[in-house]
Amino acid sequence: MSAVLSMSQVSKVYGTGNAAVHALRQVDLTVGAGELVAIMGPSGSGKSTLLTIAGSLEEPTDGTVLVCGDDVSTMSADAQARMRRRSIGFVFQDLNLLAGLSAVENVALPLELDGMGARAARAAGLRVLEELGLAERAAHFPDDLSGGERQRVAIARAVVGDRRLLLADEPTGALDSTNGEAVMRMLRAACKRGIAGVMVTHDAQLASWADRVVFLRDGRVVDQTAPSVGPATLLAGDVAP
Amino acid sequence: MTATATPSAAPKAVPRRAPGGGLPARRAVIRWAVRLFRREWRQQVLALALLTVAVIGATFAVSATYNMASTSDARFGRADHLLQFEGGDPAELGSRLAAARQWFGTIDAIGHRYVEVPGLFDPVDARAQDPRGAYGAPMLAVRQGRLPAGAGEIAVTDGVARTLRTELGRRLPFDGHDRLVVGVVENPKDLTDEFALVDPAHADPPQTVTVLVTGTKDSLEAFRNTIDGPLVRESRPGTTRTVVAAVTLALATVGLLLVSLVAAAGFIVVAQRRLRQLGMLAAMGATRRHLRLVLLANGTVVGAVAALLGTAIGVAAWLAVAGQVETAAGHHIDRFDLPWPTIGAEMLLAVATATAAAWWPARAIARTPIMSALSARPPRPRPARRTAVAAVVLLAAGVTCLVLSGGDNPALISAGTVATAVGVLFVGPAAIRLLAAARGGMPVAVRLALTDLVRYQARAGAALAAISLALGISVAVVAGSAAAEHQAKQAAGLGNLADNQLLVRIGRPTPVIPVRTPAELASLQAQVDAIAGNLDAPTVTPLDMAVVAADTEPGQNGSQPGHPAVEIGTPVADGQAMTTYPLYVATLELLRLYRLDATAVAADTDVLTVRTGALELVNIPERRVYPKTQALPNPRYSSMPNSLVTASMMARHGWQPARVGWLLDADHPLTEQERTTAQNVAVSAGLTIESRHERASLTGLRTGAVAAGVLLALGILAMTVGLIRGEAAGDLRTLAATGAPPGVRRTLTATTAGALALLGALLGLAGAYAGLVSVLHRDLGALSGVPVAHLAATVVGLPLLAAVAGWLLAGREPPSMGRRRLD
Amino acid sequence: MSIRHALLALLAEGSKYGLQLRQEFEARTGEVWPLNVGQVYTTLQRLEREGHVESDEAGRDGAQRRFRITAGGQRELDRWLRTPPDGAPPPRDELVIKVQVAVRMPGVDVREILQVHRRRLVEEMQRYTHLKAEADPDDIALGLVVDAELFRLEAVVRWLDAADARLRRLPATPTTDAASNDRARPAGPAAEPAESAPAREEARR
Repeated sequence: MSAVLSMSQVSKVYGTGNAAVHALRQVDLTVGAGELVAIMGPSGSGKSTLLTIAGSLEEPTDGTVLVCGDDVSTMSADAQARMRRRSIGFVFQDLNLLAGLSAVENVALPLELDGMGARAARAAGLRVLEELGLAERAAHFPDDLSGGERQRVAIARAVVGDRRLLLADEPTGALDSTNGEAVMRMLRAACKRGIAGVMVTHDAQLASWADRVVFLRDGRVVDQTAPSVGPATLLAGDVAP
Repeated sequence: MTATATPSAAPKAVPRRAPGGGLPARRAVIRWAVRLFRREWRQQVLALALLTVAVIGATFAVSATYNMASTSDARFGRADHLLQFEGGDPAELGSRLAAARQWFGTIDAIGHRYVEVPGLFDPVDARAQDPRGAYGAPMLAVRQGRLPAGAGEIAVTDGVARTLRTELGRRLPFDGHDRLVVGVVENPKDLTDEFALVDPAHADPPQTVTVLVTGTKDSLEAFRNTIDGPLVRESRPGTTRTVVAAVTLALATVGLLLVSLVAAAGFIVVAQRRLRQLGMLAAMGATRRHLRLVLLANGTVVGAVAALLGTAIGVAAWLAVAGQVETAAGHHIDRFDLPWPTIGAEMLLAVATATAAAWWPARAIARTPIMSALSARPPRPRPARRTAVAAVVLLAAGVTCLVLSGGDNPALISAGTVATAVGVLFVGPAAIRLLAAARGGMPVAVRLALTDLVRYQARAGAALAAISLALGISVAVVAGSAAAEHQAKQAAGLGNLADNQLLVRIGRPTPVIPVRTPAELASLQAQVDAIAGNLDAPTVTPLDMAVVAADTEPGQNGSQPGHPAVEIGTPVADGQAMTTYPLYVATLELLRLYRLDATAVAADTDVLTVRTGALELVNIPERRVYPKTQALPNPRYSSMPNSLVTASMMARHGWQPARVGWLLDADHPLTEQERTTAQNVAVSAGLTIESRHERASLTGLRTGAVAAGVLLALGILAMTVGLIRGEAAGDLRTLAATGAPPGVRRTLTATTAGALALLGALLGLAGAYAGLVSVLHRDLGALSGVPVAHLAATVVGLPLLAAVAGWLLAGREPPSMGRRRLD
Repeated sequence: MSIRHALLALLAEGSKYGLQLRQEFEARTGEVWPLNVGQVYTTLQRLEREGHVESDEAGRDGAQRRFRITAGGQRELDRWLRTPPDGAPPPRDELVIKVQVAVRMPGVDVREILQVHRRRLVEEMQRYTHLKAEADPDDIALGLVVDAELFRLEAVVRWLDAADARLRRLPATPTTDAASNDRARPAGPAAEPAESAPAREEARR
């Protein structure tokens, strides 16, 4: 399995001296194509920082971050931006979509930012929305979409084009369980298409959708679950008649 | 399996696209910016309205000045140059006209005779002009009746009709003929041009002839060299009305720049509101250039909308009032004759300044770290101390520029105005803090309102800047127009006499003053007293001239012989001739008009005068008498005696005073009726009177400007209060949730509005006065006649009005309380 | 929870044959609740004895008999639906005891122990979730049962998180604190039940 995201010995310190806050301490993380990894930890454990550093939104204080084999820290700001629009998709907790653009325009925007013509980008966006079962919502504006639909459109935008890495920060945080499940199904489906997914959450149910759960505490990776054993016959002995 | 897919997909996609996203990316970003503007233009209504108002003002001002500027067409028609020939020698005149016709080809000759009117000082200009003249046609139009034909007919302008007390269809003796008034005419390019028109084919020999010609200046000079003797000639001035309109545009640009400063503050607020979305765009892979482009595009859109709206409204306003300003302009106006290229340039300027105003916020936002943007943490505002330092520096620079400009250097005035205005804007944050510092001990709602003003400095600062600017402009218009009126009275050439003055002369002014017996003088004095009696006891100042009693000369034009009057002269540019002015005796009464007494005149002073340069006394037996002069304060009016000879000088040369007239100062503007009565008395007594020449007054326009300034300030204030109320909806909801009664909500809104209006009024007033005092520092008296009531209304009334309006409006729940959360 | 009431509920829809009852029961509760053949029929016989169901032909094999719910059976079903579920102590109690023991034992990293359990629980949740993920989203029966298990497990994980947070808030020397407690009381298994009873009560409040 080829590693899409590879972080080694990544540290992040905010502030200096006595006010220094160690958000991450020597974190190693590798995520391969087609794998969905959940980063789980309480608030303040540094999980969001891990995500933003992986997505080149912030610079690590120390350590290296490779996305698709390229070292992010040596890139110029423009090259990072290019990498974000070509290889990385973000899904945040809420307010993912740009107001004023319809669903399909939102999805097509990263492609257009990368220089694809408006028509071609729109077609590509429609294709992704169709694949994710949102075709009939394509022309709607974010205000007219439900919370769950907005998150699903955000996922569509995060995977449109030739994306390799999907980074999600509490993607179902603002949703009820039914909508949350729909979003997670879609996220999992997206990863099964060959994208490496990283999702941070404090919610065990959400994390359990992942193939692998990495536990983060006080900026350190403390544990991770074994790779999934796959569906098993469950509960055979657990329930008494 | 992914490994096989990756290399095949990547090279396909990459080379097709430009590294920075190229045109498609820019197009997408601009499309988003435009959509956002369409969606959320209400958030920018303040900047939009300000820019629109500025463009309206600019469009209107450019249209108005272009059309109102007294065009040289009034004197030149379609010609390039005019020549003036004396008609004293008909043969010489004939040969000169022939020479001119030969040299220039087509010429247009207009004959003038200056016909004296009994009892009046000013003669009537009787013109023999061909209404179809090659160049002069635009200067003549028939308003009523028809053109005169034959020696027995005449047409007059309405002003001359009044002077001669005649009207269409009446007969009158004029210039030795009994004539029928067959038409009312006018000079469409200068409605204050008063004349009588006679048929050129049957006209008497002219006293002077104006010849209109075209050609280059060199050709004119070459022609001049073929003529013996002096030749009065004049070329059309270079300042065409297009230039005037361009100068107005330059001034309007200063205004646009000022407004764009406020717009920039507004754009900062907009940028901060969109911070999270911009962060999202950056996370999606937009470069810093793209982020900048979003805000720049927004600025451009705002500018374009303001330019279109403003130009449309400005042109419409001009079309609506064009007819009414004709009287003020003094010439007929073709309302559709607009300087379109200048207006186009002004529209482009509006778009450019709005875009420029968005530059700074755009730059700041593009530099914000993406994570800060995503969590909507705006960059920390500058500490108030730093803006205060900037304010002091800018104000000092602005005032220095204005002081150095002396009121007549456009570049320095512009720079000074901008610096002063920016300085005042920078005082804003510090002023808000200062006001908020005084909040201890106030009711909780007031404290909360003041704290919020400090907390949302960018927003409050923008609002404050807008209000200060509007009120500053309003105050500047009010105080400035008052000062301008004051100065207008002071500037020579702007009028002959004040409207409450009457100058009574004995006979007509000649270089030779006839000798009059004491009995004659007493009789004249009695007539003057009669005139004065009709004017409710005016101040009567006798006017004497110095005469050389030793010489007696024959009178001119058959009048009595008399003594030559001493005159003061300055050499004309070519050094051959001399321009002379009357010289009056510095009597105590006359000095009192200048608020001077005998002690104010130095013992060795020969002449008190307003004139400067090489002055020489003329019309006296001695040559090269250069008097020792002392400066007089600038006289108010051109017909006022403004060169006075002292008693000591007269004694030294043995000159005698001779009575030439009286100056009557009434305590009220003279009515038409009073002038007529005075003229009747004067005619019978052999006196001539001179009163204020009717001039088009700009008072009406000035009143309009004042009203517009006040309306603008009120409008902006209303918008600001509305905006802040909308902004404070969140706070209000929290307050309502904690059980605050509506009174608290009212107090909160009223305090916000009132505090902003008060600060804005004070800052605007201070800024406007700083600017005006700097410009007028040499003559602060001009600022003494300031309409106190209006300024008091501005400083006290507006904040009160704002507070009351805020109080009243806040009673109702804002309809869109929850909306803010969604954006 | 019993098969009796599930069968009564199926019969409330209308009379059914024994075989039909078994098939429908399996279809509705899914693979998470496997039954053996005999369980259905013995339960039906018991219900018939109690007068909750009746059948037309008493002599035939249970699979081919047609059962109907009686008025008494209807009442019993109604009563059961409204009765709160049996408050049998869930398995987490053992976890609570383990953690409490760990808190009091010197030289034990309690948070590490918490993490071990957390990982195990999350792994179990992953298995359930993946089962749900692979299944048809419209499979309501499976969804209901898996969700029930997930929420149960999640509750335990959240308890672990809360315990973690509680321990973090303790002074920097939680182990010595616990040790001094230990020293103060006579160590021994007898102390454990006495301690756990009020703790459980607290948890219920």
